[in-house]
Amino acid sequence: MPEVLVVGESGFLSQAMLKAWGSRAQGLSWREALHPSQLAGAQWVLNGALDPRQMSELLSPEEDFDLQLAQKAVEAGAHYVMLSTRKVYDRAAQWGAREDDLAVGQDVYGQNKAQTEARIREVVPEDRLLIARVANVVGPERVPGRRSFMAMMLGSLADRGEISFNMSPFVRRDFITDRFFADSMKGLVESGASGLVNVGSGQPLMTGELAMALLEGFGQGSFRVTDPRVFDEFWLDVSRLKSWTGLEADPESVRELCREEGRKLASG
Amino acid sequence: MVKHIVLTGGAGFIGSHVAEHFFHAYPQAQLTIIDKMTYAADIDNLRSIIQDPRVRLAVGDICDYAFVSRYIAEADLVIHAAAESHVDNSFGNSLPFTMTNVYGTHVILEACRLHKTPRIIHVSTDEVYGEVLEGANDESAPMNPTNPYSASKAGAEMILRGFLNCYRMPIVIVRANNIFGIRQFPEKIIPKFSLLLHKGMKLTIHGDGSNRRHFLAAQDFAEALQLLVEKGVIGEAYNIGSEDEFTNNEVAAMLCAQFGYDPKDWVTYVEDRPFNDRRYALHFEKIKALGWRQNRSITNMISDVVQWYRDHADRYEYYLRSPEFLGLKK
Repeated sequence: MPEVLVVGESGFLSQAMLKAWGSRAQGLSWREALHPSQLAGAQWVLNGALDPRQMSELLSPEEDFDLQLAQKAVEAGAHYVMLSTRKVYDRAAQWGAREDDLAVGQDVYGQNKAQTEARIREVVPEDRLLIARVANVVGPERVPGRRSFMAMMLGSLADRGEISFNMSPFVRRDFITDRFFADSMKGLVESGASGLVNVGSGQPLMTGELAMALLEGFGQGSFRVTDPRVFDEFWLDVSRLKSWTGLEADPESVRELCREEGRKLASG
Repeated sequence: MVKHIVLTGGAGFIGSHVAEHFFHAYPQAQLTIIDKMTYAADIDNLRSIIQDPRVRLAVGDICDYAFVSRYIAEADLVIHAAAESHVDNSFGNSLPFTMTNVYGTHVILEACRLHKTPRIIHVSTDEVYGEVLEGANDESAPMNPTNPYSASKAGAEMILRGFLNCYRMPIVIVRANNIFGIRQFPEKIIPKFSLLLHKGMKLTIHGDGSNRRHFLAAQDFAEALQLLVEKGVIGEAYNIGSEDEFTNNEVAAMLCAQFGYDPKDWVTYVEDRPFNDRRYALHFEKIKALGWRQNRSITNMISDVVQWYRDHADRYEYYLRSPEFLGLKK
């Protein structure tokens, strides 16, 4: 049995973590993970599965997959890692949010995650629970159906040779690469961390910078702003992540990832 | 009436000032900015206009004919300001200079020819005349480039001449002095020294600092381009000059003064590069005769310009940490 089980193995974040851990980790689908024997022997269980209902409706404890999985992990004697979101922080706290800021959830997704965090704390011993509140992760996201910022840019560039923003390109957000995310999670697990931790860069980038880097890598394409609204700017205070893992994100790595994704898209 | 402007290199330093000026000067016109978004370009340079529906940014290489042709097909005015422009870089690898500045210009011209663009402004440089130790050059002076950068700009002008002769294309050429202002990439003396001093770091001057340059405000340059769009004679070249001439030592002293520093403590000298023209100078009576005036001076603007770099130092933090930028590594 590998020491780390990553649940929701086909997901974007799970794929990044599985790659970072290599043979030390095993991926499982969410259905497989609920089978009693599947978690036996694992030291760490990380949940990378996303229930799409979390985006649109408030889920009850009975519908909360994270909670069910956490209970199974406790029964198996494993540490549990929940991937939460920066959206648990109140809107007013988005600029430099710290782990001890109020977690009320700024939208339905954030509220679901905040509720799940609270529920899981009730069932998992403190020293066996790690909750990572994750910033915006970008990576190879040209996947059908994916609706992330990066996936939508890649899709419109591929389909129409254009990136169109319905927000100001000067909106700043905390972006990290999938690789930095995975390295951070690996570092946290290897350090035996427990508690709450923000996983981000702490250095917001303009969304337009990512679009420009993607276009630069792709080689050509136009950029237009249809609605210059400024909304949902955020960055996370990552002092705890740095102190626990020694890791610090380089914003240039996000730009370079975008260039590389652009080049990959251009080469088909 | 101008309805659709295509501006190449519009996300760079000079281009962004030209973009801003033409955006306001022609409030009915669509503005398409073509830029490759290489290191010296930045979407932040277009902050004041990019969110307007009249503006579109087309990211791509001017050497790609199909790409530029798509946009030039719609244009009734093309301002070609895209260039590899940093002389020091041209000593290390001059091929991108020839590709972008010569071949890229050829591509733009060919697209303009096929689409019968009614007006084309080509941005050249005073450096095509070469070094001028005494006096100044008017537009009839021969081209005598002295480095790979200026040679590539002179090469572009030769292609322009060929197109002018063969096709009678509606081209106007501008040759300007050193342009200064906010948003300039910190490889050039004013932003670089401002940022270094802001960081409390010493300045390095190549040679003895006696090299002289004339400094023209980016806004004055943009105003000159508009005048040439409206009154410039087709086929003619126009110098756009400045009365403000300073040595590198004087510029360093001017910048040190903004920080309250004594240049004796803040400037160090290193061996000069192999080819460093001592002076460029222009006569610009021809554009003055059309009504253009230099309205701004570096001495009046330097305080605001330096303050802008101090206020926006975080934008250049990445470069300020690099050994190449700091002159610690070649």
